Amino acid sequence: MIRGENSDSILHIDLIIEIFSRLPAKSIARFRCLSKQWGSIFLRPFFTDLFLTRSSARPPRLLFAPQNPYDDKSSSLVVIADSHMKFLGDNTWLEICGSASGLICFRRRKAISKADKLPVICNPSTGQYASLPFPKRGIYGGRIFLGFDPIDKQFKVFSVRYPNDNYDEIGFQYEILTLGTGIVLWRKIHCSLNHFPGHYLPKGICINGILYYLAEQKDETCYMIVCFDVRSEKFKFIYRDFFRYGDHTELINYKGILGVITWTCNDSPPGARRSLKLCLSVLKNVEKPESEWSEYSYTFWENQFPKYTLCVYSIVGVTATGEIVFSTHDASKPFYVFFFNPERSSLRSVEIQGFGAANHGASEKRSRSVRVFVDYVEDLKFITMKTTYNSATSISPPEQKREPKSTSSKAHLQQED
Amino acid sequence: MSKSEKKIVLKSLDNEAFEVEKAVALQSQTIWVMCEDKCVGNEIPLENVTGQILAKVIDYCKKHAVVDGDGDESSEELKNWDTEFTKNMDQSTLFNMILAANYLNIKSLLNLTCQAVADKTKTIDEFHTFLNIENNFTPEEEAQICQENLWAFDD
Repeated sequence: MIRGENSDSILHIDLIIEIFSRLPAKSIARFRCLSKQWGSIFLRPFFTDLFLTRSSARPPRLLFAPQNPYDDKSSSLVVIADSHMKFLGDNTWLEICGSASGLICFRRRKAISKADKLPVICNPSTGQYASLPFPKRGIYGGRIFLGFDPIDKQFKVFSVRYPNDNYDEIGFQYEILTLGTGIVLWRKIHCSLNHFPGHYLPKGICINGILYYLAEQKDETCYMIVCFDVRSEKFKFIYRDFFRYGDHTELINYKGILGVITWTCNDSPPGARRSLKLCLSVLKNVEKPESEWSEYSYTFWENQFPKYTLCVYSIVGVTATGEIVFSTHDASKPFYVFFFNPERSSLRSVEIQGFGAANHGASEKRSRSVRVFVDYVEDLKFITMKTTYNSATSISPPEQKREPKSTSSKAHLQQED
Repeated sequence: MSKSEKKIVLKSLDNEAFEVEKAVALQSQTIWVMCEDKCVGNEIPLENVTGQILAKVIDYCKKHAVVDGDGDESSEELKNWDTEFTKNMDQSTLFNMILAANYLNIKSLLNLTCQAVADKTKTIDEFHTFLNIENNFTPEEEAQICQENLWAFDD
């Protein structure tokens, strides 16, 4: 029985579950020691699914991930306002690869000089993370993306690598790692078209089970959009002539449909009023990627973004309600996020505070870049994945040393049992 | 429709009668079904809800019947009203409101009151007491789980 023997609790278990599903993820982790029955209920798929539904229904949230590229002592991921997690390790350097359904994928290396970049999956809501093994041999370079298949509720990490730097036609390797299966292994998949997502290209985005990213082909001047079906692991390609080298580009989720935003900051001739021109293209028919795109363009002037010069702002994404989000990137200065509503042509700004406190170990004078994720949802999934990971030997972060400080242990995935 | 047909009488467990507009009462799916089935007259007995709680539920329904369907500003106002509405309720009132919202099948009120309990209850001890949940872990097991979730205990 869930209730105590002399229960006078007036609420039925269904209603108690309704209450629990509305708690923050952190509280759920804490309340796992309420009782044996509740501890196990919180891990069951019906509860984690209900939790995700509730979390998605709440007002959209932004997730901020400040990094210290030049600070060897600590790096951290922060959810501002109600909680934050700290990722603290020896000589860690983080490179954020992408996010999907509440999880974030990044790569860490022991030091900035080292080329080895270990992929890590983390859940900022619960503070847990798991290091994944390197993709097979030849880690010269490559990109990693995170995809989520909403039908089978499965996360997959997708890796593209090339063994040398001359973009050899036969060299590209495409690999998949499925999370939560108990087998932490990369497996090779076939792609009929040799393509490579360069490091300078924007991060990928996963919408309704399709992972989209930009890639290039040898001897081609334009980029293409790769559509990778996370469930079936099949590729499709969209060609578009507007992706030229030199534009700032971001793939976005525009109300559930793939969109592309390109923007250029115009400050010539010198002394002239600066302007930022933004083009939003939204795919008209997801089923037919070759079909037309709806296009919109907007121009912003310097006085609309009063805090800094216009060119320090960039696009970080679009909220579920269709607002385009601009942000600055340097957390050592006052940090602003702007929301532009294209339907009403309204622009509002929000100052984000708290980056300094979250990272007291770092030198405040240094530039610290912040990555912003729009429409972040809290998800408990990682709590359940953890059990699976315990049986795998390859996930223990090899170069991570436990620090005596309490902050180092809270983000740890348990590996003892 | 005559004036009297627009009104409906809700009778609580302790025989308190409330005359309300039909539009207000029909936000309850339970009352809506009763009226559709014509299984009740103009007076609806609600045997699970006390007068004290029913009065609060009616306040909520009145507010939401007036403002629903308007623009952005009023939805903001409604949100503030909801916050104020649950702000000073004690735990026992909130639980009774949850029960009433569940029985009367008013989804938005159930959502509001469940969220209010979730927001107000912070500690494990509070949950043990309020929900009368017995901790059946051995101290060793409890320590083990706390150890596994150390990050969650650090604010």
